[in-house]
Amino acid sequence: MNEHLDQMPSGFFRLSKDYFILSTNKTLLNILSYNQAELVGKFVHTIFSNSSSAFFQLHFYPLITEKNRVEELYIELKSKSGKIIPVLLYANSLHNGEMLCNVVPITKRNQYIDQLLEAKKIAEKRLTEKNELNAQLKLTLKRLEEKQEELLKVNLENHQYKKETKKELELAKKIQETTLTKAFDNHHLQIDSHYKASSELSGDIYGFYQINEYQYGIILLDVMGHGISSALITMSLETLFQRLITKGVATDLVIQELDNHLHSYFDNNEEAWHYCTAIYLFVDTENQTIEYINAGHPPALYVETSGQLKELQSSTPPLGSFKGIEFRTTKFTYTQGARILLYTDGVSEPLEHGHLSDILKAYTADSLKTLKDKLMESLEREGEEYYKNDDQCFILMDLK
Amino acid sequence: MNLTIDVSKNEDVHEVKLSGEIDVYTAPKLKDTLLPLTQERGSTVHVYLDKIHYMDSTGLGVFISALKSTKEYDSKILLINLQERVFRLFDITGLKEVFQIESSIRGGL
Repeated sequence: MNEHLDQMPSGFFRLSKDYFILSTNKTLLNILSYNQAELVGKFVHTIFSNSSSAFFQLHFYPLITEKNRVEELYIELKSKSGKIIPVLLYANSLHNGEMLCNVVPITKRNQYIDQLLEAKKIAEKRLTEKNELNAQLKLTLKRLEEKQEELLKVNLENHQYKKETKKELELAKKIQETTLTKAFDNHHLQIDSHYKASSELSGDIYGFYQINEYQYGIILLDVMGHGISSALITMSLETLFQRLITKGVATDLVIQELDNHLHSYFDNNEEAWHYCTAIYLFVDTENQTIEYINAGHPPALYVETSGQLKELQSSTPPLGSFKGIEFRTTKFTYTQGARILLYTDGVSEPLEHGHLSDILKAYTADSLKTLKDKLMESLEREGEEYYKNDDQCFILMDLK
Repeated sequence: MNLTIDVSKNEDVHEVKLSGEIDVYTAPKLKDTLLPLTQERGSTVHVYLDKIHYMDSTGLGVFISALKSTKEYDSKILLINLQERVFRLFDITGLKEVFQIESSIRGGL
C-alpha cells in the first residue's frame, strides 16, 4: 500500500491531530525536495509559504473541524529551497483525529490559466481595437454620408447652374440670331441664308444690306473656333460692319476697319487673340458690277445661267492675323440671272472637294429655295460626320 | 481628339513632329510647345505635319501666332509635308503665301 502511495501522482501526507507531519509519500518529498527524516515530526506549517500558513489556519481548521473534510483548498507549499509551489489540497479527518492530506500541484494549470488570461487579454484587446475600428468606421460612414449629402447638394446646384446656363445660352442664341438679316427678294436681288451653330452659339456671322436703290452690301465672317468666345466677337464685329456697310463705306475700307478692330481688340492679349475669315461683296445692280474682298475665307462661288463658274478666291490672310495688310478690291461685271454662293468652312469641309460647285451648276435652272433645300439636304445626308462639328452658314444670292 | 508632339533638336534646328488632330482641344498644347521655340531669337523651327489628318481654324491660329512671333524674334518656321486637306486650309485662307511650306525636306522624314 505504501508502495502505491509513493507512486501516486499527487503528494500525500498524514497529520496528527496537533498538525504534526506523521508520514509522507515520495511524491511530496520530490515536490518539496525534502527527505522523509526532514519532514516527519515537523509542524505542518514547515511546508507552507508564509501567506499560506495564515490562510491554512483561517480556512482549513474550521472546515476540517466542522465537516471532517476539505476540498480544493488553494494553497502554496514552500520547498526546501524556498520555491513556491501552488497546490490544491484535499483532506479527510479520521476517527482518531489524524488527517490524510492530498496535494495536487497546479503549476501547469496556472500556466494554462495564464495562457487563458493572456488569450482573454488579447481577445479583449482585439475587441477594443475592433470597437475602435467600428467607431472609426461609423465616423467615416457618417462623414461619407455628409460628403454624399454635400455632393448631392453640389449636384443639385450644378444642375441648377447648368439649367440656368442653358437658358442663358438659349437666350444668347436668340439674341445672336436676331442680329442676322432676313431673307429678301426684290427686283434686283433675291437673298436667302442658312445658319446653324455647332453648339448654342456660333462663330459665324453675316449680314446683307441695301445701301441705296442700286447698291447692296453682303458680308460673311467666320471667327476662329466656335462657342461663346467666338460668338462674343461676332457680335462686336456685327455692330461695326452693319454701321460701315449701311453708310456705303468703300469695300476695302469696310474690311480694313474690321481688321483694325480685331487688332485693337486683342492688342497685347495673346491669350484671348482670335482671327476671322471674311468675304465682303459690294453689288451695284445699276452697273451690274460686284466688288469683293476675300480675306482668308473659302472662295465664294459665282455661277452664270450657262453653268460657267467662277471662284471668288482669297487674296489676303484672315482679318486680325497680321498687321499692315493691304486689302485690295477685285471687281467684275456679272450677268443677269447669275447666282452666288457664300459659305463658311463648316459647309465646305464635310463635303467632297468640288461638291458645292457641282450642286450649284446642276441647279442653275431651279429656284433659290430648291437649291437651298438641296444644299441643306447634302449637309445633312452626305457630309462626313467627322467634319460636322463646326458652325455652318451659307448665303445664296440671285442677281436679277 | 489627340495630338502627339515630339520635339528634338537637330544641329541648330528645332524639329517638331506632330501626329493626330489639331483642334480647339489640342491647339493650346501645341501653342505652349511651339511658341517658346519660335520665341528663341534667331531660331529655326521645322514642323512636320505628315501625320496630322485634321486641323481646324483654332489649329491654324496657333501657326499664325507662331509666324507672328518669328517676325518679332527674328526666327524662322517651316511647315513640312502637309496632308492635302491641311494644305487646302492654308491655301483657302491665303496663308499658303505667307508661310514657308515644303512638301519634303532633305534629311527630314
